[in-house]
Amino acid sequence: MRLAIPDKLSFVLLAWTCAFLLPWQFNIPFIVLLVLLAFTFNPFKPVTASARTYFSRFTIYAILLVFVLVGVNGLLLREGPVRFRFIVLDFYDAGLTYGLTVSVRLILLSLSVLVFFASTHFQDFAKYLQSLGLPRSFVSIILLSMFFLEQLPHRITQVFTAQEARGAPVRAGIVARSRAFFLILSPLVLSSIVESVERGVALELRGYHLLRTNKDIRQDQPTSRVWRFAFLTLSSIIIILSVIHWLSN
Amino acid sequence: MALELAISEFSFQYWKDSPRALTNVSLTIAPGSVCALLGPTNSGKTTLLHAITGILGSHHRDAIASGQIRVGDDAFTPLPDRVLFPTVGLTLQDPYYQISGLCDTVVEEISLTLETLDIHGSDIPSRVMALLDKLGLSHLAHRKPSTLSGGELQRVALANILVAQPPILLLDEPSNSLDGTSLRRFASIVCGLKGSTTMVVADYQLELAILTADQFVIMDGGKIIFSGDRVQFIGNLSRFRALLPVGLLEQTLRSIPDSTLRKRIMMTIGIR
Repeated sequence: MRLAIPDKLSFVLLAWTCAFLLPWQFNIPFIVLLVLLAFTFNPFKPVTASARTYFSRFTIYAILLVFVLVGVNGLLLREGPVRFRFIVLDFYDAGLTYGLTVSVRLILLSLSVLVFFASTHFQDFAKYLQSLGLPRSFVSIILLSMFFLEQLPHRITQVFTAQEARGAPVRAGIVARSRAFFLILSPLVLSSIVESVERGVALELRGYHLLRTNKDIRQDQPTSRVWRFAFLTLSSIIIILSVIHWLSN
Repeated sequence: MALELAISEFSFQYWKDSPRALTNVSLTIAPGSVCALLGPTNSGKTTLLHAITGILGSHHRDAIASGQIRVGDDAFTPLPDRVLFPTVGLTLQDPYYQISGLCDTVVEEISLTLETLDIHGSDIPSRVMALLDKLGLSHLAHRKPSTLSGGELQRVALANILVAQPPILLLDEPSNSLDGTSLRRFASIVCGLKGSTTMVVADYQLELAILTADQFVIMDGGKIIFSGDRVQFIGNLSRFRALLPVGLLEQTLRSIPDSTLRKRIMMTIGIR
């Protein structure tokens, strides 16, 4: 089975609608479903090995984030009854609920976007953006930014290794690591901007700006419109029900 | 089919009060031949290549230019104001930038060039594979471009351009990321293209130029200070000791202990 890019985008829209409008109890199964889909369902599987690695890492960090956010809020937001006690620490009901709401929302928002980009080839996404009639230069900017984000972890590792090779204690501990990270961030971003300009010129030198009419690169498939329709309808229903619920209260 | 490239009295300034990047550059390159454009950094080699491709004219509208650039029968006065690809192809100094970042495999990366030129067809994969084979890159066909080594990237960058079969090919400091073996392989690729493509190899090192070029041009401070064939160039090499790493080349050659082999290599590349 194949999902076209508009279908996947409709799915992301559905995830965002749920994240903002539905309570966390509904969203946790959605997150689990997303993770399962990313590992088992072809249209949502990461397309490259590095995308797979990032996705797995993100999933682990997301679980940690939930625990941290829920724990911190449960401790600090002292409203309502104490839900449970861990040694000498009291965790409050309102804080735990707030922590869960925020963390689940954040994870659903970011996970859905990550699944989309991990499972979509840059080239297909570029074609889709062009088929919408967006100018070539605009599409290039988006794609070069995405490429920069993909390369960023590798670049950071390279800079850290170079600094380490000249004796700078960049990996000595979490504090040194964080300090070094902030120090390299601005030169890294600046050099990436320069690099993006160079890469843009290189693309232009390969005729990327010439290009044909957008009608040739439309990739709509009649069968996949069903999915788009289903996702958009579901999003609309959730929005309508939420508005009705908000008005009646 | 290879085209003639002719530049006459070409001068260029990026903006009104800036120093001239190029001054009265005149040069004619015969169809199918290789011209080595040599000179130290900041001598104007890259500016000249960018002017020929049209990237300079299209990006620097306020620049001040005079003279003429002629590509085959098309004359541009003073310079092309649009990118002339696929008539003129250019590989950049750093091949890493020539990788689009949009494709997951080398084959896709090379096919992207054809796609942007609106060339479609079932023979594209075989065409790309044939090119990869020619460049000794078949084993990398399904590798991710951003994971390749410098020498491999250099050849993939060349393939990105060559797949469009440009009649004029400009190579900007191609030996930058090449070691000895890769350089010789790259030189044999360039020699293999002679006749079908007019080539300009801009470099500050001599090795690739000596192995491939028919015509030698030396630039300094935006001006051409020497132009001649191989014999004239070799005869005048000592004049350019300060500008080119001549000593290093001679020193390397003269350090070969086997005198027969040394003479053979020196004769092959034209040094007596």
